[in-house]
Amino acid sequence: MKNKLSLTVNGERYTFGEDGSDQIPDTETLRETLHLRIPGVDLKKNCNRGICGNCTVLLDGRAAAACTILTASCQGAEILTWEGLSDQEHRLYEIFKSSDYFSRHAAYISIRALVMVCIAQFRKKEEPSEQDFRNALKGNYGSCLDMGRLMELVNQYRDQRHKDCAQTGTEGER
Amino acid sequence: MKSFEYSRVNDYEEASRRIQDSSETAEVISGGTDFLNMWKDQNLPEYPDQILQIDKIEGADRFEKTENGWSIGAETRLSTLAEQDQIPVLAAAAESIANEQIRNIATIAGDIFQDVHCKYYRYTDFMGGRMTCRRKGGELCCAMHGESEHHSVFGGMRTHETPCSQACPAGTDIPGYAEELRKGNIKKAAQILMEANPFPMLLSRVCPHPCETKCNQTKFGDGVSIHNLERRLGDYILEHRDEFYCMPEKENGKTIAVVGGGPGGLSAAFYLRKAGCGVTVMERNPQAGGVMRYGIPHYRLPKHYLDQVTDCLERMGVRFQFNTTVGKDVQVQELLEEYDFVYLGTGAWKQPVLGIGHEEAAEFGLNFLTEVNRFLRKNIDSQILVCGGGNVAMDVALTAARLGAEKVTVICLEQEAEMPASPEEIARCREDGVEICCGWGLQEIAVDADGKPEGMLAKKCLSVYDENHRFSPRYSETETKLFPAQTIILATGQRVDISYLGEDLMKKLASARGLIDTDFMTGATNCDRIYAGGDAAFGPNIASRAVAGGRRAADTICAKLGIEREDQKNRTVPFVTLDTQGISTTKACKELQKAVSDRTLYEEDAFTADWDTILQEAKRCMNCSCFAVNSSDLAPVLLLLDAEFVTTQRTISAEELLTSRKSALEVLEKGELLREIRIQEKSYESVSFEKTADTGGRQFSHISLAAGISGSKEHVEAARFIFGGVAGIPYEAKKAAGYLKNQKLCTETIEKAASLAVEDACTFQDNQERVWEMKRLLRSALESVKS
Repeated sequence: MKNKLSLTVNGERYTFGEDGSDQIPDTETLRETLHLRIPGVDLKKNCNRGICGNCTVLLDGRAAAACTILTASCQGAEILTWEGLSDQEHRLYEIFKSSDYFSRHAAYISIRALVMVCIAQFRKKEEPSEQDFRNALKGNYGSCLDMGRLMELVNQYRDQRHKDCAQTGTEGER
Repeated sequence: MKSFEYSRVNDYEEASRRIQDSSETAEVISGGTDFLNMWKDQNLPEYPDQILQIDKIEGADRFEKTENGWSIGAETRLSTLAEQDQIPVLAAAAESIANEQIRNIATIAGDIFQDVHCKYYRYTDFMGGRMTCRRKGGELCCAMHGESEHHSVFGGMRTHETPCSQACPAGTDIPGYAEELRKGNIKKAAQILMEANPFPMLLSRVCPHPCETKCNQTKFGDGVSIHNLERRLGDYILEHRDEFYCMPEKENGKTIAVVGGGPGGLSAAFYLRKAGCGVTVMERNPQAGGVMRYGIPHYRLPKHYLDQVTDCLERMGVRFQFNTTVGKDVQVQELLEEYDFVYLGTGAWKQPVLGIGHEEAAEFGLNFLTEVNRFLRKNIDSQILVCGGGNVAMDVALTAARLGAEKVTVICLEQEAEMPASPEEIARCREDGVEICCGWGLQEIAVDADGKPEGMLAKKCLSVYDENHRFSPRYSETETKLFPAQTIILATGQRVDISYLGEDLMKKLASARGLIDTDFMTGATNCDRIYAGGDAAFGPNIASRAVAGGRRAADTICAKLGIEREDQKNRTVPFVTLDTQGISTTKACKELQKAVSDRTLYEEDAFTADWDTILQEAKRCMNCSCFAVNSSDLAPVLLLLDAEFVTTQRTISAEELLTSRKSALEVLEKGELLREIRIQEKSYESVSFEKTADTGGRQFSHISLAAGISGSKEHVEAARFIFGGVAGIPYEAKKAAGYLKNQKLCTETIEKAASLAVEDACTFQDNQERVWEMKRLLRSALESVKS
């Protein structure tokens, strides 16, 4: 059957178009599928042009704008949404959120997008360099972002992460 | 919202085949981000039924070092390009595109072939309806009179034929020669004009210029006075006749007989002779010109112009056989034996039978004109009635008035706005005291006992066209009127007579309508070596269509003989420019005419305008084109690196793919797909990519600059600068690069190069800032060159 489709979202496998379950139309975007069909995933429509970054997900490990991808093209893909981040990864959001820089600019910048892009870097490499972050963050409202301040926050998170790892590491040894 | 069917294709050949075979429209997407946005916004020019995604083709997403360069798969993600460090300038350009979330999906092929990001072109169809801008086939680019901040500063790109050229039966490139006039290249302008119309000095005087009514300036005021431009250029051509009517460089030994020396026949003779054929024109009258000589009065077209044109053609080597009636003195069959090809341009000279009572008592308009034009005199009664609403009727009426008739009345079926005659001719008739009565259909001619006419009984015409705009007049049977007159002249059209072909040939060539059955685009008839055009082939119409018919037939014959027309070689698509101040003038130049009291039968009524007026008028031409800018950031870099593009069919140079047409997609054939991009190692010492503003999602049409400089700060050996986002295609600043060669980079030279780079700019009011940005980018690129 043509429209049979399976996705893994946040570790769970979903199959569509089989045994009377919903078929996904060819024109449906990944954002729509995730928002409307996957329980617990919230990806509201924002700019819907791949610009704002609100619907950023990790598609096979890479940050991608879910609103500019057809679900039909994602057969077998592994998708991680905001909801699938670990508690530790969520801490980056806390750090961004509590900084006075973002509290002033929050109206213009999608913090979710920045977090997802940074997490993609952390997941991709063991020790991503500062340049990796700078490159990856380019274009995410680049002209309004104070990259220096952002790096400070990312580094703050990185230090915490190291600490956490060391703790769990030592715990493991015990 | 229009739906589509999605499928993933894992093979280029299969994708190609499916695009070519599909009975439905199929389109290929790579990353698909741009397509999906346009689809969601509903602003696609066309909606495909099938979407084939090819981004996962095996081996298509790769960046590899080869022996002397790199090979990049067409479906390589932009993020891959941004992460590699072997070609830093390409990485810089890729990195500047959109955001990471898009770079991870979008591909290099998608970037090159993406559509323009003009806000008018991308205006959604669902808010207030589709915005048909010039690029989508509309009439005008919205940026010309709207906001143009993000639009081209080097002029527009031709997208479709302009309305004036479309309206011109000869297909003259009117904005093309107007542009050359603005630049001051009169000779070039004349050459462009003569590509479609070899006798502008004749046609500009007689043509009812449908181009002017279709001109987009009519939306704001008067249409551009195209016939005045053409008339001035026509006179210029005659003044420099040796440059424009010259002997062909070489003879090709083929011979052609042109039957009929009217506008169509002369046009065929000109183009065929120019291509090197031996041309003989057979004309039954003692002089050439056809209707232009015998049907059009002297005050509109003085006959010395026709003498001069005949003389020019004779000097080119065209032979004329006057007083030779084909069908009587010589048969078409004999011509076929003697010549390689025969062109039939015999026109429409026969009087149609209207079927009204006592029709034989009336005179035929064309015969009347022929006689007057031959002898310039005629005994004339005091009360004349002319029947018809076309230019022939106007000519007859005005000629009669100037011959001394006391009262001349024109009756015609149409209301004034529908009359086929041009408004100038109608006005001229009125000025000479001709009365025009619109909305009357002919019923019967009233005659006295000797059979001499006493008047025309006419019935009121209620409407001429039916709801489908087909000719189908409706009359009131009760409302009739007698128009008294001693002479009645019928100018209600002419008919084609092809009986001269002889019975056998006529059977073979004739169409159901009694014309010569001819293909409109090629002039080919049912007989292999016979071509035709003009009125004889398509029914009575204006002279410029006959000229076009002659040219088309000549083109077909040349193509058959394997000769390429000179002016069709080296046809590239350059930017088209306009005068941004001049287009806001709403009044057209006035045609200079004699005072009504001075007008005669023998001398021309109007004068040719002087060059100043003409050049001012040429500035009013908007050169209707699309002003959207090229939005690919990779294109300037790939151009700078002289990349080669390997498609499923061939290898294309960067120059050809990225700059030869208005969009790269147009260069490819249907079903041709890009597979690979090859980049050779380049020997620039300094290569840089710069873009205005860091990056940004929503603000498209940034200006980018890919600069390559060899040598050092002290001595620049060579330089190349390619700007993106300033024109419809990447713009190479050749003047600046040429100037910098062998220069030392210092404040003065940098400044000079920056101003040279933008020297050819043609800006609107609100996109001048882009010119400053260009200069800024160039300065910063040059300042970063190491010593």
